[in-house]
Amino acid sequence: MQNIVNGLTTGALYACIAIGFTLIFGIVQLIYFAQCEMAMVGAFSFAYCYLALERVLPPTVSVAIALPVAMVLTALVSCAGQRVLLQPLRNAAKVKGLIASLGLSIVLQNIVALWISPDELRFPFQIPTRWVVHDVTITATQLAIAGSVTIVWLAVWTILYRTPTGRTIRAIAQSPDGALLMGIRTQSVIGLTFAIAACTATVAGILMGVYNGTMRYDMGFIPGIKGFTVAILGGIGNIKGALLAGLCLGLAEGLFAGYISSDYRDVLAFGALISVLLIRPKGILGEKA
Amino acid sequence: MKRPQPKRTPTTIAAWLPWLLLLLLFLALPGMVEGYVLRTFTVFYLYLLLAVGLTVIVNYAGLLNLGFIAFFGVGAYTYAVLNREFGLPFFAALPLGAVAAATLGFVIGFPTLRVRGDYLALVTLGFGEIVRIILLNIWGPHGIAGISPPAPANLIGGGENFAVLFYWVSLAPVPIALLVLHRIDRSRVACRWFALRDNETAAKACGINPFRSLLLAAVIGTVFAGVAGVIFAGVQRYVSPASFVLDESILVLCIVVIAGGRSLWRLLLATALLTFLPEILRGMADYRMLIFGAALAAYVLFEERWRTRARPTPKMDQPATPNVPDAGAPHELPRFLASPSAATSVRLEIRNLSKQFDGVAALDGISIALDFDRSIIGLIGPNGAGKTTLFNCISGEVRPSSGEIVFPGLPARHLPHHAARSGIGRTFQTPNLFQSMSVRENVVMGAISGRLPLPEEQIDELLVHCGLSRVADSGVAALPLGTQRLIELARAVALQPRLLLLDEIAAGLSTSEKQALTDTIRRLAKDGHLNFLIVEHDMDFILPLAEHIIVLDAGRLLAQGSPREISNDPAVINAYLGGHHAAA
Amino acid sequence: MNATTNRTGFCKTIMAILAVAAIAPLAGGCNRRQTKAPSEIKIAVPVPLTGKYREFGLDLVNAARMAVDEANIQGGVHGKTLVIVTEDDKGDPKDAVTVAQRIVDDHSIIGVMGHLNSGTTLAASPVYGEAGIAVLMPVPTNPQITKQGFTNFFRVPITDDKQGAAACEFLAKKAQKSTLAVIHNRETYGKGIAEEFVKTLEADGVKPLLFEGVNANEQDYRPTIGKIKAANASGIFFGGEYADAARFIRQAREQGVDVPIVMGDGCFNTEMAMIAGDAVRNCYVANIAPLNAPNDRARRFYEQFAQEHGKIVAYAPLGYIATQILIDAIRKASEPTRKAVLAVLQDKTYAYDSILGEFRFTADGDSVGRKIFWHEFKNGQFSAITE
Repeated sequence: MQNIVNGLTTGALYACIAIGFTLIFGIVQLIYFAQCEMAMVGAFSFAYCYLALERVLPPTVSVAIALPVAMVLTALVSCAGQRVLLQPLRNAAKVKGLIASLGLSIVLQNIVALWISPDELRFPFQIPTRWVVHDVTITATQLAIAGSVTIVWLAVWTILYRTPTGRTIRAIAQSPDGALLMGIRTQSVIGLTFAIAACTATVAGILMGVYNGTMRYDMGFIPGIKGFTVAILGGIGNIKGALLAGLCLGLAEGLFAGYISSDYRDVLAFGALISVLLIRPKGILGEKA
Repeated sequence: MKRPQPKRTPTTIAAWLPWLLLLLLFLALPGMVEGYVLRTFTVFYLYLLLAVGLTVIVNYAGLLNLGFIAFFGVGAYTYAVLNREFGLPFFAALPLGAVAAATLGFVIGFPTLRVRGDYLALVTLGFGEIVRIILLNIWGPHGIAGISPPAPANLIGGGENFAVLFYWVSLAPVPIALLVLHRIDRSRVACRWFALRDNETAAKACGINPFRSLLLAAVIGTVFAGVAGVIFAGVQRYVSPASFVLDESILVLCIVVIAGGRSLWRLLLATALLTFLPEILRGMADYRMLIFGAALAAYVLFEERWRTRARPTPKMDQPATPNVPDAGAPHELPRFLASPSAATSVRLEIRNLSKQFDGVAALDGISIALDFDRSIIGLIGPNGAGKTTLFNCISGEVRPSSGEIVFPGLPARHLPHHAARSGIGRTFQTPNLFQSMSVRENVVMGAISGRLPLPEEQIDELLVHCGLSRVADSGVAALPLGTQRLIELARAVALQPRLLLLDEIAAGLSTSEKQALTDTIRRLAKDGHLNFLIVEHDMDFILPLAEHIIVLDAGRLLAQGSPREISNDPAVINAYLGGHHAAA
Repeated sequence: MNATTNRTGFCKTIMAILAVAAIAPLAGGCNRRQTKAPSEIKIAVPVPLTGKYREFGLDLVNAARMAVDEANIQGGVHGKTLVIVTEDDKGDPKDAVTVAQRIVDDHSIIGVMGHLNSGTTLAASPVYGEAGIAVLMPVPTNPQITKQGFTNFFRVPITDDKQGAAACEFLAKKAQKSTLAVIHNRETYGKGIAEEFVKTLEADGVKPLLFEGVNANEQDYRPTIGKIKAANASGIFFGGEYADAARFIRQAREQGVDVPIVMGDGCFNTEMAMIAGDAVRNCYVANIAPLNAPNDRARRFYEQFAQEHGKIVAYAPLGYIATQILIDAIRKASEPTRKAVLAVLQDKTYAYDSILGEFRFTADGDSVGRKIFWHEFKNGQFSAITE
């Protein structure tokens, strides 16, 4: 039972990262490796912001301020990366865009490793409360994660399906040329999408930091790979699928590691990816704009 | 990107000489320097092998393999484990390591490449980590020590000579690898890769199977990695999962990206740069990955900027008078058309074909049987009638929702390259030409994957016949639309098809161009024994040309008959002029 | 092909020749180090100077320098000055091999004190082995190194197997032997020491309740912790490095697992308290070197080191001892050559009295009778447990 709770929590984290991936992939048809690092950048910005504010303000207020600051910072980094690297390459072979985003990812990791620290650092914001119910420990953090991810998902869903901007995003995802012909300023909308994805990544990164208690320059890497796996599993561009697939994967991993063997936990995610590619390449819930 | 060369151009002594000199230098090295330098060069040769493998994947096939070092690890562990458990000698392990790596490459590539090429990057990234974890769990984090070197100490006169032995062992495969790469570069396989990267739709229409081609590239690359892995294990005599980390994959990727393109020299120099420089600049080791990451991004960016700026390729001549191709005196037909080897009558049957797009029926239960024998059949209908959809179903670009298409040699659920290979050629509404190739090379691409071989002189004859000889060596981008259409037609003819599908080939042409086109098509059909199914809006073009006309309306067969019958059919006139459908 | 290719081809040949001609002497021009100043005796110290282990490497270099300076003040060895040649193996086995080759090529180096990691030492060992140069290992604890059949390796610290066994004995006193859980981080050191722990248990006829590995950089240990809880383990042994340990401890306590956790020397780092917070209650860490000086001589060393180089990171005392042994061997050798130095160390009766007690070597090169030093966390610091 404990495994289920823990598994769902990690699943929610994966889903949060996957939402960002799936948004970006849907709109520019590119695997944006640097999205993993956005979670890391978000976590670090929040941490330092919080540390600075916490000295003078009460924790709740600090969080309330640090969060949007971190989001803005991460969004700036992400959009800058998109502007400088991806935009000039949008007409080139796909490979080049992949390589450029990979390079960006490495650079971001190493900047943090070299100029902040290559070691594990303590994540300053913790929620220590926990309850024990029927031999199952549930921490406030886990509830916070569940809550935050739900909010994020709802927010993204609302933006995509209830606002004109969202409609524009979906239009571009379906047909970039068509959108151009309709007079949509694709570049600014793409930038906006990246910003939204960066915000979801920030939340994911912060939640990871709180849940694990630590942060490190490569904290985004493995969750990022899993996040992308989840995005593909759920169907590219389909955020409902991303949420579902994320929860499923987290749950499966937790149960697998808990009852069978944690040695091969990551192999599960990888195996799932290969199987889905073999059987249902469009993802479990199918691709959507 | 340089142009592919399907022909084998002989290489002169002068081209080989620099390589020979370099080889001599490498052979002489052990006599000149100490063990440390030899070890550094050993590492250099290993990276060169890896770079050769990865360049096939990245620079030729345009795929990205981010877990490449895992295949290296597989090769290394194959030798390590077999040596420790069964005492397998080094040279026997070489092919085994290659096979192991290639098998894994196949297993990874198969599901991934069927879906999308860029998924391979992600899957291989995950795969790299998975392999490391598996190696860690099965053989332990200590790794395997005490692996036998390629030759025992007593054979080479003592342990001090190991450095020299390792040098030779790692140098030996390098010239072979470079030669293989050179051969691949000039092969048909490479042509197919470049065609796929240039214009996938056109490549498929030429009969190139993208999945098979890309999978081949993925597997070839891993073979090199496997061999390099075995050598690594024999040279270091200790393997542990720590040697096969992502950073190494990134390093090899960096080499390959900087090397770019197809030049062997650049590959050599890039490898040298990235292996020797860190040795010399040991103090900067902390910044290594940062520099690599920045180099990757920056390089790709600048290469693109440079490429788009230098668009007119200087080697290809611009046409002197970009105009209508030679009209007037009819030229001789190429031999393969004038006297074909196979029968030219063919039957195309469409049974109850339907296609829905999100609930809208583009085709609704069409059944028709067409017998072709040097015939030209026209397919007309108002806008939205489903003509292009029907074409796409026949040529395989679109899969019908129900019904079937029967054509000799065509498999039941077929893709574009299946159609091309069974003899259905086509042109597109907007010409899909290979931008990086000349006119001649475009036409040659049609022949490369065709059913029957086509000798070079006959391609020249084809070009002459279609009036393209004057522009044969120019790039295609600057040519006028009429010429582009002709090129596409010629390319489809080079396929030696049994049936040619032309999709609005006359649209946008001038009257004289249309006339020339009509003559060409007629000649190709009557004397060239080709069969045409032509979609057209322009009545003045199609009615005199075709012998038989089929009319579609709203996804259904409206009428069929001779041009005169059709032009007098009230239902047809109604469909075009009356109701919701406006005339073309 | 055509004229342009000919020309470019030739240009490239010239470039290539020049490049190789430049590289070869440049790299092999470390032969300038071989200018034997006849009044010098050189020993090499190959350790990570860059990368994530650089602090530990630097620790060793400083310790070596101290030992060498002391010897030089007393007049050197055989009337000559001792010189240290540092090399950076980056903690990477591949680099270790290249560095080892470089050391071995330089015939004026007659002894080696290094490396830091077991992995790098294992990779480089054939090179040293074939060259017949004495290697004093200050830190590598992997037992395999001395079991390879080479006769020139001498290990100062306790080996992992002994450490694993000692940890088993220690934990058995605090918990029940029959209900122990053993976790490792799947890396060379972590899994190695965990396996030795299990071996000791099994030698007593007991199996561990749980023997599991988690990814070294894994952020989430909760599934494994869940298993531990479900199995009702009375004690945990964790083999790994401090970052993993810190995370593990924190999550274990969070999930309600409060039993004693014992760790190997890889976790000896005060950062752990920073990360894990007050979860480090009831946690014990081993170290192959004592934190506080066990005797007067050692105390002097600790103080002097602290004065000159700052706080000891972890392994300085071992580096100091290893260097001292090497110097002593050079001193006792008939002549300052690799062979003679090796002969001294290979002598069964060789013993050295160091700041941490007497050192003797077995035939394989392991040191005899080494101890493990236990520490407990108190107020965010380590405090030694005297037994």
